[in-house]
Amino acid sequence: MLHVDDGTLHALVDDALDATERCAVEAHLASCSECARRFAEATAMARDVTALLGALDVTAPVVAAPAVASQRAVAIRPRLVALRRFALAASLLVVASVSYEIGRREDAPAGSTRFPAAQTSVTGSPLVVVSEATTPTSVAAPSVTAITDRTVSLPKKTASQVSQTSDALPRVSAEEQVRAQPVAAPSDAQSRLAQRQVQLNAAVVTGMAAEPPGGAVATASAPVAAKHVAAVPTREAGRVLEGYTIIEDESVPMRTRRRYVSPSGTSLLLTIVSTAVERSRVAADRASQYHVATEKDRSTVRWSAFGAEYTLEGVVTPDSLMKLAAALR
Amino acid sequence: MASDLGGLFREYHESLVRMLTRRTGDRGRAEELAQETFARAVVAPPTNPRPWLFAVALNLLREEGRNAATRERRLVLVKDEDHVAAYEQPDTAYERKETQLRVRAALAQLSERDRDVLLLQAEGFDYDEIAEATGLSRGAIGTTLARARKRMLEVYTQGEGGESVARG
Repeated sequence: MLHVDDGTLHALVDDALDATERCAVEAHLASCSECARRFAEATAMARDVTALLGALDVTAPVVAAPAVASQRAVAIRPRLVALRRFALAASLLVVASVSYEIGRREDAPAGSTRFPAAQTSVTGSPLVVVSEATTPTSVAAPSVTAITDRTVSLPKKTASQVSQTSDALPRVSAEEQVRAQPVAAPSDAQSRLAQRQVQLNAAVVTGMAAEPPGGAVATASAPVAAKHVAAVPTREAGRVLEGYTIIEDESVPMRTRRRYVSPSGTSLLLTIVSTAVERSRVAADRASQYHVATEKDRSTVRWSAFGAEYTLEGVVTPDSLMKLAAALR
Repeated sequence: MASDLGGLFREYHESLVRMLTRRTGDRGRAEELAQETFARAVVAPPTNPRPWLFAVALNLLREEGRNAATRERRLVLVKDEDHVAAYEQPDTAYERKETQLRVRAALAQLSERDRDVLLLQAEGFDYDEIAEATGLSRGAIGTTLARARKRMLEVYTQGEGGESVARG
């Protein structure tokens, strides 16, 4: 046998030779010091390359640049104005607020014990949330709510800047949680709605109107004011939303949010694509926990719509995709 | 096939994101690409999922690479990374960054095919799977890996002055 070529040596290192080949090569190596040396070399090379590639996985917490955060705060304003104008013109449209936050146990709203927020959970999975109002109150009342942004866990300074720029946002709570407040004086019904807390586990839930579909999927202390709640990858949104009209396509980086209105005029779509940068903005003040949280892929998304507050917790994607696939068939 | 998708996801998502992160240096982008890849698996369930998923992901990456907007976004990410140092020991941060920059530079020196084969092998792909994912013949994988490893270590050590390469 002539010397063994490099490819074969590496295949031997990778245990990719069939039994016959392997026998022949090993026999040769036993008798050829040159090839045995090259084999040792190939083994070391494979090991070293693996180690180098592994070094790429060691990441430090990603931290938002303060400049980016403040740019966002500035950018929110024009959209707020535009949105309010539109919302006033089309009074049926209910604009919801999406609150991102790093879940903390003490931040969790009362009654959320079933899916307690992990100490280090961060906003996570891509979601498309399609909500169609079915509660008469929320449709009938021109409840124009202020649109906030994903400012919840930005550094305190930024959060308060945001609240200053938005006169429709009277307060920032102690947990820096910016909630949508109705612009119009809230009716009794609205007040009652505002008390409602609906918890959905990460799932695609369709056709959910008056009742949550089983305690394991969702717990609701009140009827859910949404007809469709879907968690889908962004690219699939088009299919899901066939027949809907885009009323706004925000120029927020990374397709953070879009809204659609159905022919009936009452629908709302939120597209949330969470990326490392997106999350880092939220996690800016908890950088040390961020990486751990990302690794565990924990996520908490909370938002308010139609006066009710929603919480999505846990990993959304696999389950959602599965159910989406079933729903699309 | 819907019932399989959850299983697919559990089995391959982590590996896919890791490979894409190594390839792009951008975890967020890697997650997006993985997401998109699995979305395609919903539409057209693959028969041999692992090579299929990775091949689709790498194709998506190539398509995306042609998009100028994403390049811009990457610049932002690099900027953000500069703030990392504040949360680490400066020495550690420096070393980590140095190593990663050099590994990335070394990867960048490889041909696309060599790089893909290397990354797939690092995810535990056997030669059949690598062949299926890349379209190379099985017989060419060993040679490709031999060349890719050699080249990668050469480029990496060039910037190091001959120190041990396994340090990082």
